[in-house]
Amino acid sequence: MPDSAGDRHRAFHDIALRWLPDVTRFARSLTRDASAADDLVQETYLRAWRHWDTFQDGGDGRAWLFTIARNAWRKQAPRDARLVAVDDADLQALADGAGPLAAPDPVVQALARVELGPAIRRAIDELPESFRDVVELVELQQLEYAEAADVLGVPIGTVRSRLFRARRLLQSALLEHAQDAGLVNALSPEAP
Amino acid sequence: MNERPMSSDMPMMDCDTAIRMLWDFLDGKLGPVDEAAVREHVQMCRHCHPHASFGEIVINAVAAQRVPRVEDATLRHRVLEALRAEGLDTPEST
Repeated sequence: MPDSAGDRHRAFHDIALRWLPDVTRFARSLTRDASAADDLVQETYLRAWRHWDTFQDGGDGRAWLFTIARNAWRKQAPRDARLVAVDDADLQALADGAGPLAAPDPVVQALARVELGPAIRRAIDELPESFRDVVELVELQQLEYAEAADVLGVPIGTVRSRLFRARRLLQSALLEHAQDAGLVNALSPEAP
Repeated sequence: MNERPMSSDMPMMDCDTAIRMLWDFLDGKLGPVDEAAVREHVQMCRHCHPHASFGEIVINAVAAQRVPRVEDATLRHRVLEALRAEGLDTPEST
C-alpha cells in the first residue's frame, strides 16, 4: 500500500480541516443556533474521518463536507425544525419566467443609499430552509449550481429555480423594510 | 454579436423573454449574444429597467454578506480533540 497511515492522517488534516470555517458557517445556516452548529460541525468531521477512505483524491473537499453536514443535520434535527417540503415542480413553474420584482426608481435609489446588511441578514434567516440552503451555498459560499446540486441532492434546475424564488422573497422583504423604515410610501411590488 | 438592426424606440427582445433571462443576465451567466440582447432591452425598456435595477440591489445586498473566513479556535480545538479520540494523528498541539 503506497500510502502510509501517516499520509492518510496528514491528508485528512490538510484537506478536510482547512474547510472548518466554511463548514461552520454552513452548519450555522442549517441549524440557526451556534451551539447546535458546533455540535453539527464536530459530528460532520467525525463522520468525515470515519469515511475518509471514500473521499476521492482531487475531489472537492468542501462540497463533500457540506454534503455530510447536511445529511447529519437532516438525520438528527427534530422533524419540525427541518425542511418544510417544497413541491419542486410547482417551484420550477413559479420560477420559470419569474424574473426580479420591479421597484420604482425612488425606492431603488433609497435602498441603494442605506445599509441593507441587517435587513438582508434577517430576510435570509427567515427564508424557508430549502431556499436558505441554496442562498447559503450559491450566493454566500459561492458554489457553482452543479456543486450545490450535489450537496443538496437535487437537479441543477432545482437549485436555479430555488435561488431565483429566494431572491424574489428577499426583494419582497427589502420592500417591506423600505416601508417600515419610512424610506418610501406604501407600495406594492410589481410582478412581471 | 447580435446583428439585428436596432430601432431607436423599440426593444429588440420582447419583455417576457428579457424578464425570464434577467437573473442569469445579472449573474453574468448568459452567452454574449443573449447578454447583449438583454442589456439593450433593459437599457431601453421602461417596464424592464426597474426589474433589473431592483434585481441588482438584492444581488449586491446578499453578496455583501459574504464574510471573510474566520477560524473559531475553540471549535477547532474541540473538533481536533474529538478526532484524536477517534484515532486521528494530528501535527497540531492542543
